[in-house]
Amino acid sequence: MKRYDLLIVGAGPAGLSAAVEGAKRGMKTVVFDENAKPGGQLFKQIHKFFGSKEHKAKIRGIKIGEELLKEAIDYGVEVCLNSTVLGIYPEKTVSIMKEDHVETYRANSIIVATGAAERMIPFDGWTLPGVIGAGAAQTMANLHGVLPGKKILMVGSGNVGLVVSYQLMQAGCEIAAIIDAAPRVGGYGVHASKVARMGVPFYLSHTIMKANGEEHVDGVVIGEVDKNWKVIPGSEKEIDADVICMAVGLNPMSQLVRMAGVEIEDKGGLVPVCDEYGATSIPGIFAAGDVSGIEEASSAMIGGHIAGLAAAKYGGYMEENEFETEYTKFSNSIGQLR
Amino acid sequence: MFSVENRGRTDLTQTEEGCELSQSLLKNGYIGDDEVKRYPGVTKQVGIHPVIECSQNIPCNPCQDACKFGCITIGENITALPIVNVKAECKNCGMCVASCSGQAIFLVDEDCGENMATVTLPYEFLPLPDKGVNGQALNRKGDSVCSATVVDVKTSSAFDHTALLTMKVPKEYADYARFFVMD
Repeated sequence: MKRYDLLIVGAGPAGLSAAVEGAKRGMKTVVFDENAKPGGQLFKQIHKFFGSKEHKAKIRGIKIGEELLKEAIDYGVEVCLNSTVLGIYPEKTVSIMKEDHVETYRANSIIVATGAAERMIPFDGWTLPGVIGAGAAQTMANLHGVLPGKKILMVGSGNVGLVVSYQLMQAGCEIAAIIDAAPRVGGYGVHASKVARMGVPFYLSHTIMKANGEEHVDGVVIGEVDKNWKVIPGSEKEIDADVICMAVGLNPMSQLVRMAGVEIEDKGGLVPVCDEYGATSIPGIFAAGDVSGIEEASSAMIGGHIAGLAAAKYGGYMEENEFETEYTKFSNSIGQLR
Repeated sequence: MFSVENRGRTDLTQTEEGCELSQSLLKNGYIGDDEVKRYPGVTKQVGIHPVIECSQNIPCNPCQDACKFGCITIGENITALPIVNVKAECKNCGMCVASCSGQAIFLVDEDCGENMATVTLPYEFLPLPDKGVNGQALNRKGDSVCSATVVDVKTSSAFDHTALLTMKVPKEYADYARFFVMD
């Protein structure tokens, strides 16, 4: 059975950053990703990032993804695409499905960096064609050049809802409105202002009640909610739309770590209990990025670097002193973002 | 206010430096016309100068590095609101407008002559309007406030796909005109 020093699940920002750290220190490193393209969420982020210069501020997400992938490959990391990790078994054995067969590997250290998936909230008519996740709309528009529809109702005013609204407008869609059941815009004010100045109306304290249409969404009913999240009678409004984008939160995809038997906690989604280095309750199994707690790409990259360092130390590839120095640099960096 | 420890808090009313948060931004998605002057990035000056409508503490500082002439200060703590220094001389290079990931920076000449003002804004849509094109200026809420004419559209690899559109508007709208649509 083939053995790796470091086996990473997920070639997104956290996974690739961890791979770079491990490979830099001489670990035989492999990254498995179920998708056809690496980079996770990075290659859909066509906007400029925030943070400071060291966090790649003002650089577009796609460029950051390209640089990270190149760095990993330059360091000799094996990146295997179209490879779905089926399970993490005792003794750190991992099974991978590749096209038409299953392969099994042993690893000294495993880093799970599987990210998160979109939450859905059910509502009357939610199964009609035209109801999609905001991330799915972003993939269609930014990766495949396909418009999800003409007039979009965005549900959710966090950064995902705000940024995807702007990007769909760049692609040529109209945003009929952005709604949120909360009384305040959840994401950065500057993201909201960009679309507000183009005439996009915001309806805070409004929830989605019903999607109308026979074969496809052709209209939406929203209603204002009171302090107890109950719709105020008479506050219903009809909005003309053919697509309803759901941007109502992300759930960490923690199935693999749960299967491995690590200690789990509920932080608005089931996540592995990790120390500040990304180590779970099972020695040699680490977690990094959104799977360990939803934040964003910049923190995922730093978290990935830290987990990579921790795996290198655990595997005997790094001395304590060097580890502490390197760790402190990254810890300060992530501190600036929080 | 967006840090992990503040997650879920709805009681914050001020920034770290004591500026009142824009309630209009939180409820409607745009800073109110009466609120915008509170922020250290918004100043009144003679001649062209940056106007930074950044009103929340987010970890972000590329604007400070973008200006080589000392017009913009954030400091050690990168969540601080950017300050526009009235003593520094703006050279109208446009790097700040292009570098702001939040597209919150404008270059404004409140009185460029003949009772007109110019506003330069970041523009990331195709097709790019041509110089001389007439249209409408929209305010922060997205309402049309006045006629506007495009006097310049600058592109540069240094701007990384953000075009700089300069529109001329009647000077009484210098504080309000923040987007351009063609007629």
